[in-house]
Amino acid sequence: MIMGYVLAAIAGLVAVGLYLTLCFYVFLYVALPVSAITGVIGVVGGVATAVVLAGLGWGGKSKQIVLVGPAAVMKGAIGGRPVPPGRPRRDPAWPTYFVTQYRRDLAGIIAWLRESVQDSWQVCGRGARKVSRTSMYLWLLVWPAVPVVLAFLSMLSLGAVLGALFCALIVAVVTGLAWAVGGAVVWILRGADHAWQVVFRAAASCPRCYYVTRLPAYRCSCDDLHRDIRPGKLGVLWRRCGGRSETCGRRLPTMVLRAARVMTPVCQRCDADLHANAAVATDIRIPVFGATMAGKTRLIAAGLVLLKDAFGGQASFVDKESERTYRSHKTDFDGDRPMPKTAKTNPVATTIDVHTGRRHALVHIFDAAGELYVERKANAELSYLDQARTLMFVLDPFSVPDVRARLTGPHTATLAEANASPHDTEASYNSTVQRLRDAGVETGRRRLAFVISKADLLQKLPEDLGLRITDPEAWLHDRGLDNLLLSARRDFSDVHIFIVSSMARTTNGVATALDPLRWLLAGEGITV
Amino acid sequence: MPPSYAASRITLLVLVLLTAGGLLVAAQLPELWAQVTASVEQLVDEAAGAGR
Repeated sequence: MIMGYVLAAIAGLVAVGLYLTLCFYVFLYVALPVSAITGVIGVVGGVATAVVLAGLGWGGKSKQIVLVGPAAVMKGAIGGRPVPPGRPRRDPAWPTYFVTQYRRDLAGIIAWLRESVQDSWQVCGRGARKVSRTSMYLWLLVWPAVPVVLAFLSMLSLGAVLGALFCALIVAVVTGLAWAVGGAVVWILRGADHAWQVVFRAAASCPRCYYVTRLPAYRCSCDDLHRDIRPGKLGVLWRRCGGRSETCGRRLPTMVLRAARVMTPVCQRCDADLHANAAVATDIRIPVFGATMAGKTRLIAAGLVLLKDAFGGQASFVDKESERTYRSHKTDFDGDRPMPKTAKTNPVATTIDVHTGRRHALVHIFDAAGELYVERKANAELSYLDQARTLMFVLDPFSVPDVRARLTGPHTATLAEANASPHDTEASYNSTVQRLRDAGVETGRRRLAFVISKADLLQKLPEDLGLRITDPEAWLHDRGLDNLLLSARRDFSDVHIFIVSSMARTTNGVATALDPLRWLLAGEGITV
Repeated sequence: MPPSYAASRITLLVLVLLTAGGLLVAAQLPELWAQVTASVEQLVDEAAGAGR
């Protein structure tokens, strides 16, 4: 009996020994070489999986990749500051790929790859659990598969990591190059815009709210506004409009210089349409100020008609309102009709586009009622005064007390014909200049055309009255206006006095209304 | 999705494939070079033998 147990034990030990010996040889000559092979297959498979998934991801087959579209851009997906607060952080356009989408793509591909590798581990884990559930003794047979599978999975994971790193490296290099080249081009193009605007003194000024900017908004044909059309994160040479809930898709040029050719410029502040060529053409704003009934509107009417005549086909009115104003002024000027009183509302600029050679200039002339210049509260709203490099001040000689005192007896008819301004000339000048100073305007860098109007009536007076003007400075001195002239010379960098007849078509002893305009435009490089 | 996205993605994919292919070829280059030089030497030897 005991002998039987001993023999059984010995047989068992021999069997275990044989099994372990067999296992040793199986491990050495089967599992180990096969593991090496599956390991290599795993590394190659991991790298290949990474490349294939990258290809599928970039081909749009991955659900894990989220597109960064215009809606996300407007909410700040690529930064940007809303100006003013409350507006979208950026324009409704697709950002360039290498701004942010490349990161989303890479993240999506890596997530997909991680998921795939995890799936492989889970499949093998389920297989192992199935073996355990069937019979634990089954492991005595299938254990050589364990190192083989572990080697494969480990190397697959390593290969996937290497593949992902490889793809990320390529993306990083290409993105770096795109940023370096794109960034340089962006700054060159922005510089070109800026240089053009500085050299040609180009700007966009709103005829309604008087806001002046070098960067107007532009309206896409889908009606959505692009408030910063400069080259940048939304496109270097072109941008893709994402208006109308991302369905527009129109390709729009970046840069102010290029956008101005194909899109409608819009005021950044009041969203009113601006003139064609705004921010590209030289922008000249000429406010004409002076006391009520000083002859400002007559001067502007004559000036516009003569300016249009001087340029002929090279001048055009850029909007219907300016065209209508010009026609009305021309009718009044040609028919020597009296001008209607200017409405006491903030003026809308009359704009004429003149071009000499290749150069365009938008000349905006502002005509406000004289009362607005005298009343401090009213002239605070005339912000176009602050933005003007050139101004025109109109002095009615018949409003000067000394002139009025001399026009007695038979000459009172001339005074009546002159329809003289009842307001103090110096008050309108002083309140306007004070308004400029209050707004922080350096008047010392601005030019002033000092116009003595109604000269045709003045020159008709008998010489013995001593009111005809031969020397304007002496005339102003004799009339007690030397302080006004002194103030003007002190306040402005360049003051030129014109004795103007707004009824005259040609210079005949007195200047026409074109002469002060000609002088002001010459200072802007425009030769009339 | 704008066409620029598709173009950029295709560029990235092509670059990944080209670089991967380039690396594989580069890894094989020493072996290839050895085979080429061996073949050339063999040809030269054969030519020399035929000459004699």
